[in-house]
Amino acid sequence: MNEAQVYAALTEVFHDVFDDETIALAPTMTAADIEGWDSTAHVALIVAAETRFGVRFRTSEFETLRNVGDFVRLIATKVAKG
Amino acid sequence: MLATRTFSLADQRLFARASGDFNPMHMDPLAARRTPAGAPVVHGMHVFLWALESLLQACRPPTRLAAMKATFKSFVYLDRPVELELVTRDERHMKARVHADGMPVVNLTLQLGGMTESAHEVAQAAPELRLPSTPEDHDFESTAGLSGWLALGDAPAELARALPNAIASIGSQRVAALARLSAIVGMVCPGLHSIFSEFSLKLMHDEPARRAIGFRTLHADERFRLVTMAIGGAGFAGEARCFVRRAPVAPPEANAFASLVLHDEFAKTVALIVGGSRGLGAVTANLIAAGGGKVVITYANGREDALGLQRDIEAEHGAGTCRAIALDVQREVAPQLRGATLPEIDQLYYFATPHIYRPHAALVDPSLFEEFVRYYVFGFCETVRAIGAHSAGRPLAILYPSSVFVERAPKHLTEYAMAKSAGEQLCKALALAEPRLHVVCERLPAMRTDQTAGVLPVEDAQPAPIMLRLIRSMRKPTP
Repeated sequence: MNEAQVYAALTEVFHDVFDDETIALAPTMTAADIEGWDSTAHVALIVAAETRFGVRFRTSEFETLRNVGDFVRLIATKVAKG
Repeated sequence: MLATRTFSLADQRLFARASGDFNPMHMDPLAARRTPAGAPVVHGMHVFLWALESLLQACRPPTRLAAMKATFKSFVYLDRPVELELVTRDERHMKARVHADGMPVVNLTLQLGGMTESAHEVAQAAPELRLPSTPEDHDFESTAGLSGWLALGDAPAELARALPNAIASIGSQRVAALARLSAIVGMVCPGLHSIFSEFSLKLMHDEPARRAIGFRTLHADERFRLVTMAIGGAGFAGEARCFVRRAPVAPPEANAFASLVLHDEFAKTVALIVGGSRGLGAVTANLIAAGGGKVVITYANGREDALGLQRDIEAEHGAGTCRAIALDVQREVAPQLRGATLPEIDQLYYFATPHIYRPHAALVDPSLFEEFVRYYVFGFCETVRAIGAHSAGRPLAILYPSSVFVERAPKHLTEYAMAKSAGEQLCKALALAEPRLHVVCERLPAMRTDQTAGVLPVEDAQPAPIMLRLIRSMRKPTP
């Protein structure tokens, strides 16, 4: 799965978690750019992404994410490792 | 807005009876103030059922539901208005939001159409559980193996009358099951320390013979303290998620402080600790008493906490070392202190505070700012004046705990930071106006107290070393 495919699938995850189908992800996006991206939504996002991509993140991995681009790269790396 | 509503304590009691969810977070102001909510909050499922009823009432013709999903995003407080907004509606979905103070608190999605042949993942052989009279207090780890069935209750007539469209659409049994789901989360699994996060349920065709709703823990994710449960029965199949918040910060035990302080280093100290029944105030009281000083601790609501602390300190350090008195800094302070017949006070610690973290949409909420100012500025000023008058010209050392948030106010804490900043200015004015006052004002880091004990691990400082350093800095009042 390449990064473009991860973006496409992760966009669906964001739509579902934030209940907003207008969200268009960009690499530099952060929690400040999406209404409702608080700590609770962040947990829902991590859990939903794990389910969607069949991966599991360590706490240290998602604590260091700076933006959506970091998140996509992390997912792509995890998926590639299987 | 489609509908508005304010939930009262009477509403709360009615729903607790109907659902069986008597979790103290909803019912007991003293217990609730030891949770991240800080005050009693409305049952999430109560808000959902009101929103469901309002949507079904407004969106005629009568609608058949295939599934329902709700996310409980933030707490809903008693006596504060909430508003229901219909976000979108098409032939397949209705999406709605409930707002409080301009912030989304519940997101709802109703899937319209016929029911599906869903199967649920709760074993019929799972045990029949009796609804406990008080919430189960499970360790997070022990939630992993839980499952069971709870018989549905008979909803009080008042609740049934309030939900005619919901009952007409999905049936009284499913309405009772939704209410009971609140009790599963709040009373059984995870129980006492639960925070309901979301549920997603499909409506099933078959009305089962068993008049009960069942649950089984699917995952207990320790990273987030998040429990995911399969929900089934009573015409539903789906999942529910809830957080297990950390237990309230245990009050410090008096005998734990002796090793931190030097013998009799505070022997000549007589301190008034405003807001001393818990948190930083209780730590301060314990440290001073462990160093041989005497403390008067005040409480506004936590009488039991304060009397418990008095008992502990007196048991450890002797009779007369601690005394608890009532003081509400939102009322005129001097008459309350006069009535308390205080000893000669030479140190004043001011920890009086309302609940701090209250999310809201406005950049600055005037009423919230005014409330903080009443505590951190006017209440403080009145207390200093009252103690100053009482101490009749003697030196008085004062600790005013400000906050690092004055330098960098996180979202939703702007009013708090503004009020603390005003308190700092007052400290400077007091020190200038009265040379006998030795005012210590320091911006404290976030420390682990009931106000900061949430679900996720946060960086926080240990209170005792910080408070000990500050107490020691109080011993040199200006002559």
